[in-house]
Amino acid sequence: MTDVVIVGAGASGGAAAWRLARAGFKVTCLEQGGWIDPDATPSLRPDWEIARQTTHHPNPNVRAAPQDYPVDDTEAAIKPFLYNAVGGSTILWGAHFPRFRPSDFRTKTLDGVGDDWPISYEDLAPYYEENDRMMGVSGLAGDPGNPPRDNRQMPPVPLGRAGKRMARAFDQLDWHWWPADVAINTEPYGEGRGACNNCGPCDLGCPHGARSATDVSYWPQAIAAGVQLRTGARVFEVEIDAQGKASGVVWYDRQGQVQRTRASVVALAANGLGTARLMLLSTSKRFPNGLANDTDLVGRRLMHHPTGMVTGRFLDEMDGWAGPFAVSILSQQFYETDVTRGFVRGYQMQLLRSDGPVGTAVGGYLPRVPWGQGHHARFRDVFGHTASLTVTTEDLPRMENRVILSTHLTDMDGIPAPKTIYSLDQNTKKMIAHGIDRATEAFNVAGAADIAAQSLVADAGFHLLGTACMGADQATSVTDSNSRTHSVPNLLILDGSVFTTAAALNPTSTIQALALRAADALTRDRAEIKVAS
Amino acid sequence: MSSLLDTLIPGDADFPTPGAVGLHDALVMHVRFGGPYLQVTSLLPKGFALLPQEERAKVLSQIEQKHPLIFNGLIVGVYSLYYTEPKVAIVIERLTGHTARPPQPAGHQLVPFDPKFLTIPAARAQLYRPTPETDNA
Repeated sequence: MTDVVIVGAGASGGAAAWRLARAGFKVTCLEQGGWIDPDATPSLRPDWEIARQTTHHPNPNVRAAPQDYPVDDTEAAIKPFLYNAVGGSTILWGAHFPRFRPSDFRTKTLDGVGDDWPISYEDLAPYYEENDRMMGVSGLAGDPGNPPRDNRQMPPVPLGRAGKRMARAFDQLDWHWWPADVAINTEPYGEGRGACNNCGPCDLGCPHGARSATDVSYWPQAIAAGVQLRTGARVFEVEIDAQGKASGVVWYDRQGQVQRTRASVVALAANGLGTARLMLLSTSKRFPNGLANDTDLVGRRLMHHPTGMVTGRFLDEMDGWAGPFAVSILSQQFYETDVTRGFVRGYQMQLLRSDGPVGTAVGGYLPRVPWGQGHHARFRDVFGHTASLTVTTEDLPRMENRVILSTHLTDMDGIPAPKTIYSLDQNTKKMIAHGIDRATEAFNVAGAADIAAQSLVADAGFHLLGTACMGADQATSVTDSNSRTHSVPNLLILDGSVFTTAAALNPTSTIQALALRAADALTRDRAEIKVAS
Repeated sequence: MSSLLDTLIPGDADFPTPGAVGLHDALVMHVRFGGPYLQVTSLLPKGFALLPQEERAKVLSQIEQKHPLIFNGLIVGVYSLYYTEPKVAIVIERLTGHTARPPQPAGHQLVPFDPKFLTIPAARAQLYRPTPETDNA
């Protein structure tokens, strides 16, 4: 018997485990993946780019590792992008670390769309600060696009040639830009974690521990605080007692044997896909449609961040293969609602560097380099000569975008896989079109020789949000403001499932701040929490 | 089967052809890329290798149109193995400065951020929208 069992050792699971253990809880965490050896990163091998196409591909359907579960994405415009390991998807992330803006918590009040969160930016601000300290953030105070806040732990990552070029273009256009906040060490920071050496492919892992992930930030301290972390543990059911309280979880170990962990509190931290899947799998007489699913909201309101992309090719070399691939500068010029644009809410533009030789040839930022005559001429033209702006749009919740259980796909243990059903609405399409026009304008001002746009990046399902949403009204939400489910008071949802709305930027710092806040609320209310008998 | 691979990547004065760097053997042995390669190979007409370059390209275009998934798998495999081949990496280093070694452990120089770039953006007015809470703060 443990006080708290957490399912998932990723961004939120690691943060909450650390916080709860420090508060005196006996914590067990179950993770279906294993530890990633930083010295085994493909970045140390000549064939490092092949790993991106195979063993380290972000799509679990392509990667197909034993610890992965497949995702039925046949009815989804955006494909899944996640990882299963200690550290979760922070293992292969680019480490963008922006915070929500205050308006992101009040879309209903300000714009009449989505729903207001039951908490505000101000409620979350101290947890953002604590989380920054634990993860380690590089960046600069003084951004007029966001509320004033403390200095980051470290100075920003270098802009690179493309970053400088685009920064000048934004200045000429009189548009906002700022160095991105990133969870990458530009100086040694944290326990045994060194500084970034500008290698490029952060997504393949970092042997120096410079790119933060919860396996190198939270987990060493969580384990030191007493958390029991079990890897290779694939949870397939949350059990409840006769009163409908969560009593523990059932899981397969690596040998396929069924194991059971009883707990006073169950906390789900398996991302907006895995958590919804587990809740839908956990049916009972009390919850025939899935755990805590009285309102039929579990799995619904799935949000990503639909992303367009514009890539500019410059005649001079940009050397974009050097430096953290995903982070440099960003612009939030078009973030807030301006109804004259023809849509509500807005988007962020983020500058990406570029690819190595394989990534350039296979395509991604630009279409594939054509095979046949002229192949190498085109390769010379584009390799090291490009930069890209993503157009990351706010994704408002819609009931028809959802996670359900697949009727035909299972993981290696025979557990039904999740299926995502997802499409874009007209508001989002207008936002992307507007963003592509603006990004094209910026590349033109920057002097790009030619410019190409993608109206939707399909392989961009890295933000899995909203499938067990937080709210003040029990009839229209799954959890309360402390991430505790309305109908099962000793069940917490710690990951991005609880997002009421998605904002238009990377969610990890908000996910982790919410997890820390949920942990503190549990600590505060522990005497009042009704647990299984 | 260098005729197939060399049609896809003909090579030029700087770059070697796939056949010249032994890509056939690497593809056949590769656990993921070998399948599509052998599948496309099985679709080639007899005498493919004897056709002129332009005719070979036409044949491959037809296969690409009829079997796009398989052909895509072939292209990913060919490009992946070709551009990680050390002899090709050396050419890229000579032409572009992109070093013919893995990204780690050496990396690239991390230049300190220069705050002079922020003179203009730091002088902008507040861009975020107030909320009832920020109004009351």
